[in-house]
Amino acid sequence: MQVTKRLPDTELEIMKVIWANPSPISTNDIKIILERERPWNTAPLQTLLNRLIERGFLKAGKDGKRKTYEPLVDEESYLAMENKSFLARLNNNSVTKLVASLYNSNSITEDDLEDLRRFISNHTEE
Amino acid sequence: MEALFLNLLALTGPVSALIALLLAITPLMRRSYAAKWRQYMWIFCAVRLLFPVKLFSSSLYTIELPPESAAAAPSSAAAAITPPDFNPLTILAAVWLFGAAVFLTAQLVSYIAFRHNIKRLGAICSNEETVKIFTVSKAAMGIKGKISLRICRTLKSPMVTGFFNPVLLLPREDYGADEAEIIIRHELIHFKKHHLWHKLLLLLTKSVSWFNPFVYAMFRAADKDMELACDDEVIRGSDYAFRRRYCETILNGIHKERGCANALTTCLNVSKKTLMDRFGNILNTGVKKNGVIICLAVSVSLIAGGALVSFAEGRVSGELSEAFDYEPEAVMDAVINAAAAQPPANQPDKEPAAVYPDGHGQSEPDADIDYGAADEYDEAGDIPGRVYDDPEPYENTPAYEGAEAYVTEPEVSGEIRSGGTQPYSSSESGGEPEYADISIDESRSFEGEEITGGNSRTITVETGETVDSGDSFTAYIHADDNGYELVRTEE
Repeated sequence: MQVTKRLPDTELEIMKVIWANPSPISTNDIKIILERERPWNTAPLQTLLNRLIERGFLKAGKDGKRKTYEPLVDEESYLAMENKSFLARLNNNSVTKLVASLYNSNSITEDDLEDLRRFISNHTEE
Repeated sequence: MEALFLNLLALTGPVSALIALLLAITPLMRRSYAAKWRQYMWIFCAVRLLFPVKLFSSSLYTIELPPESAAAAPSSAAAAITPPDFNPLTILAAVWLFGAAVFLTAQLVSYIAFRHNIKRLGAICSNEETVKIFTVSKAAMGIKGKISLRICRTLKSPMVTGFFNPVLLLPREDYGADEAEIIIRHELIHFKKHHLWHKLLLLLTKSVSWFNPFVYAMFRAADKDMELACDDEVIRGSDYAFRRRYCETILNGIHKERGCANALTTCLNVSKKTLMDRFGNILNTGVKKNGVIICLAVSVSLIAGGALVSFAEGRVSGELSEAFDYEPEAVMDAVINAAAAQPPANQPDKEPAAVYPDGHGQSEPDADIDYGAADEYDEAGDIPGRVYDDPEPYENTPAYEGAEAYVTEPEVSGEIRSGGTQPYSSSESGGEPEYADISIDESRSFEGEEITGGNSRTITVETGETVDSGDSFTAYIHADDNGYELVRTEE
């Protein structure tokens, strides 16, 4: 399914829980996991879940009496979409300098990687 | 503002020279000396450039500004006292300040946006082995500050970030145990050595000296040195196999996370060179000397050479120090000159009119005499309740004894309100108070007079003239430099 728009923060929070856990997952289970971080009320949660269904991110189901949900969009596609967006490129770590990273891979090409591998092997004798 | 800018400019030369020197000798140093000492030098340069203020007033080192700057400097010092005029220096300084503000704001905004993005897309690590390695490493390295672990799949490299809520970010959860340990230890060392705070300092310096290319070079060099220092820590005391694995971990990370780099990237590939230098540093198993001694030697020689950039006495410091320490007399002179530039306009002289034998001057209307507002006075010209029989300090002061001199000069004119103190212009008044006997005839109309009713009446009085008042009171005008006062006497 073609994913086009960023989710608002709270809806994304819910989706992350759904992605991280085996599906289908019931409303109550979602709530329990979410409450590890902060308190949640069932009614707003239900509203947000319905909104996610409208956006096409979730499919509703039933397990006996309880409502369950399955994701329709997988996490990888969504993150890839977010990453490609203009905002994400702005927010990307390459713009801010206030991080201490392990390496900076911005302009490394395949050939560079080859050169570097060769460099390591050549230093075997030292 | 102009003074700060000038100071910064003066500092820029020598400190940039120092940076260039450090950059030049770095390749020579790298093989034998640890990167740590260089870090301190970068910080020193950064701090010095961040606070462009005068340190010492003399040094072996003289800064000679070109004549136009020296000419601009006095005007900028004067501008501190008088309203600023649009000389080129002010404009330049404003441009500098604006540029610094824009730079800083952009950095701040991008950092905040980045943190927000991390919060959105980050997740708690669910790989228990990784979490365990994280906790164990933290304890083993003696890290006391709080730092949490998050996975954020949009990132290209593991990193630490955050000043008040530090977090170690990993781009993936599926590292092998060895890989995870290397990565986590490297990042935790960044955190332990407070590299983030160093970066913040360097960033602030870059904002202030945004026009100085040497500072950008210093930033990149400091970055690289921080990475080298972390590498050194992680591999310390370990065997060659471990070091090799360390390099390969880095390479694998790049390989898997590689972004949109393509073969058309131009040749000046800083990243590749940086990595090659790092690998060389890691794989070089020679014991590195600590570098403390050479650091001290270099520092001492630089300080002696004036690289602390004190301001020499002379043209530069003279004008600039004026801007910083305001000489009180200079300010007073300027203020007095400004005040004197205005027309006196009935203002009395500042000099005290008379000095009484007991020493007090009469430079101001005596504060403890309450002349009263115009409407406090009743028709008779008194303030109800006031006792005029003892009008201190006038009657009781020796100087007034026998000073009932009659004014002999021509007309004294002015507006008399019953009982008020009025401005009094007298062409030839000397220092002594003068008395004119005057009675007011409130029913009388004077030629040329304007009777405005109520308590106020404008009359022209000749000194010595007696004016009769209907209800028989006599008042006299007490005149001195501060104006005149209508004081009632007993009939």
